[in-house]
Amino acid sequence: MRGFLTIGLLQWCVLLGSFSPQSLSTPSFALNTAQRGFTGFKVREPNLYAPNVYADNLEFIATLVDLPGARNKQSYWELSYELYFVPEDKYYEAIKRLPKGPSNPTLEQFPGRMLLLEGHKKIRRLDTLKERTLRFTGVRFKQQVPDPQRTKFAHLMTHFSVKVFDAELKTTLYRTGLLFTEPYQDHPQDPNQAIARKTIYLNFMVTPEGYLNLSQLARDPDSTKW
Amino acid sequence: MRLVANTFKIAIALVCAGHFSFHAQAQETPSSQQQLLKRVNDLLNSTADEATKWDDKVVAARTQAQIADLIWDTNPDNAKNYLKAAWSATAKVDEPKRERSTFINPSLRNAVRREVLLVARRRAPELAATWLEEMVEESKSSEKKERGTFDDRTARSAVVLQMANELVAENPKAAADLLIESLRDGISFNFQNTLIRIQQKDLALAEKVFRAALARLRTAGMSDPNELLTLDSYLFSPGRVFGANTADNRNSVQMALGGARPDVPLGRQNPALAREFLAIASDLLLAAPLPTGGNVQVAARSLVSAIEMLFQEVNEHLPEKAALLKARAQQLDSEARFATTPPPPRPDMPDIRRGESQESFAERRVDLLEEAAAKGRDVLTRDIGYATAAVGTTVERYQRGLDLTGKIDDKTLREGVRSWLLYRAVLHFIAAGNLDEAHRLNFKNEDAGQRAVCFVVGAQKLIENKDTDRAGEWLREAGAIVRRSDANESLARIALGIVSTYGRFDTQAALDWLLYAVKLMRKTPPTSLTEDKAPSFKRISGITPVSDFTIRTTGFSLQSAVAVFAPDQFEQVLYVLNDITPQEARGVAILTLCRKFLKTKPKAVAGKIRRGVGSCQPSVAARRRNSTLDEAFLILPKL
Repeated sequence: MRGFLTIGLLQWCVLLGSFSPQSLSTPSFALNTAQRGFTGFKVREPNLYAPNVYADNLEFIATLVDLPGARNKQSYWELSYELYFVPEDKYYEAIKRLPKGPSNPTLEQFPGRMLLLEGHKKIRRLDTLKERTLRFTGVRFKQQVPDPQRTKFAHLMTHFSVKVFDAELKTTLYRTGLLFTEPYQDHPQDPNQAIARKTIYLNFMVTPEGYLNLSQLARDPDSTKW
Repeated sequence: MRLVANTFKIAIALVCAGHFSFHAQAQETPSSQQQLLKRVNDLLNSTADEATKWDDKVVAARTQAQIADLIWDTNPDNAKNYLKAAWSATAKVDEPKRERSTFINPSLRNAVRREVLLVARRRAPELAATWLEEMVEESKSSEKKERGTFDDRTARSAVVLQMANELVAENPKAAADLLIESLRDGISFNFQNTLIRIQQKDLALAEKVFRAALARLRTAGMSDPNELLTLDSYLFSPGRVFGANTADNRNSVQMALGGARPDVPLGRQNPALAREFLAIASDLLLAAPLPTGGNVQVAARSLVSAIEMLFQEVNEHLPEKAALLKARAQQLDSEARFATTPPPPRPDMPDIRRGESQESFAERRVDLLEEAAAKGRDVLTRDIGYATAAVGTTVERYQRGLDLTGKIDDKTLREGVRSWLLYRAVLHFIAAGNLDEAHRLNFKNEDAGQRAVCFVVGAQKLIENKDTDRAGEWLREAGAIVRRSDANESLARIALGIVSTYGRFDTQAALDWLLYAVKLMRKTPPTSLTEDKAPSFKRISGITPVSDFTIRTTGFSLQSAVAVFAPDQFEQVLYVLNDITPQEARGVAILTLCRKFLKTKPKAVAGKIRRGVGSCQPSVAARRRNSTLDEAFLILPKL
């Protein structure tokens, strides 16, 4: 078209998975609401002391659910991960300071965070789901958190940097970001009852179109479906 | 051995060429021309028949619609069937899977439907009318998806406006009719875009369409303030369209930039019309009720921001309405509840300084990103941070980007970002006519595919400058890269770029390269082969911006390559094209060849087979124009 100044679409705002409803709501919560037709509204009671929803130890499971080049020996997956505890007051102070709408927060915007787990892995064999799953058990949690900070609406924050080379697509995908969840989850039989969350998930999948999907929803460990 | 086989094949093609050009030139009697025309017609019919079996429904629908148009005068029954088949195929077009944008969501299916409807509108208007109604029914039954601020009102209005935009250059009256038709669904974002183009051709016609929009507002009211802002933009700030602000920050702005701009906006040329619009808009904003059960805050913010955007003009033309609007905005403020504290600074975005140049702002942003990257706790995080900072540099400051890549530890990422920066810079220098600098920089790019593309684009520029000797050198460089690389999707398209560029001054070289391109395209998806811009090369993903700097390049599609050959090479080229796989690509190539033949053959004979073809098929440039219609505006976010 004659006279067009600019062709192309630019979106400065970065839509980050960490603030999508998928990642903000807790994994089991999302599953339960879908299964039970629960309305999904949660009322936050500020600083509600709830040591019972703090698991002694956490399990951290990172999975590359699937990728087109899974069977190609040249494909590989590299992941840097950090799991933090963010006290409730610090979390909500930080959230208030964030601009409304799409945002791309950084670790530095969450002062007062406490490191629970960190590491880096590079996996060269991606044939099976088992090979594409990283599992860390016995991450000390409850004892790490000072007793007064064991409130229901504190948060667990996962910071990740991921690199996946898909030899089928001949593309290397990169992503870095933050994901949040609460220390509790709803009881599977009774959504009104909170129980300690014991597993933190971090799921990735490379689509045939070359996009990198990301979520921290609880998932069937034997399924390669997103 | 392969070389011998290739040479043999070219020799056969040349023999065919000699044979047929002999027939074409020495013995071109009316009967031989008729025979050739019959052959072209048969080829088109068989291609359209085959298209029903193609997996790629986008290519199938487009091919069938274009063939229907080409053969309509000679075989209307077949043509109608092909057109119907094309419409059926559009229903099977899958939309690319991507997250919905809050700004704009272009639809691939609608883009293909537009092409089919344009043919139907000219050839069988009753079909076009039925199909448009079908789209309305489909929208009602399909899942309701939230529109982006700059999406058109409905799928029907989106398609109708795209059709109008395509027609406006040749037939502003038809485009105006379509614009008025689009008003059935309200005033869409792209309404102003085509209206500006109509205004440039026929001011009175544009005024008529604008009055139809005013009539729509009078009778149906407004569904949301964006309808008013679209018309306001047309009258007072063409090429700059604001969206209603629903953010916390009162000063946030959503703005789309781009499109044609008349020297004097219509609102300045015709103050009476401007006043009429402002009066209607004011009345609607004063009377608009807030939703009772819905999101009152969002609705209130939207109304307040629209009042604030219109206020200056209303105050100038209708001060009494301005006073009422001011009171209404104050009243709505309690519902809108805009934030009273200034928004906090974003860690990846520096504060905006009054009067600062874009370059300076971009530099400060890169400073911030570099600083943030240095704080990463692990190597991968730091690498991604530095890569993000490097691609955040402006094209003129590519050297800073290259320096930043020096801090990236990951080799793949470092080289991927480095070649992205160089690719962008070289294309920029070519477009600016600085070919020496482009040539020097291009050699620094280690990505052979990108380097080859730059040689082709540079050769195109050299041909424009009438320097065919140097263009030949650049094409030989590109060719050498292609020949020593492994076949892939991008390589086939680069070879097609070489064909289309050679075709402007060396037909024999073009034919040789077409033969080679056909071999390379065996595993290339047909849709990719019909893309005319240079390949983007997705070596790395998740770092480089979504905007595509290759968007202004042309000549890399199968159609561009086939279209460079003269009609007297018909059989010779057809011989080469018959080897193409996948079948969709062969169909597209044959259609292009036949169209070119029909377009350039003596009208006396060709007219018998294709009356009215000239306006049937949009040029590659026109297709690109329309495929990017929704993307033709630079969408600025809320700040």
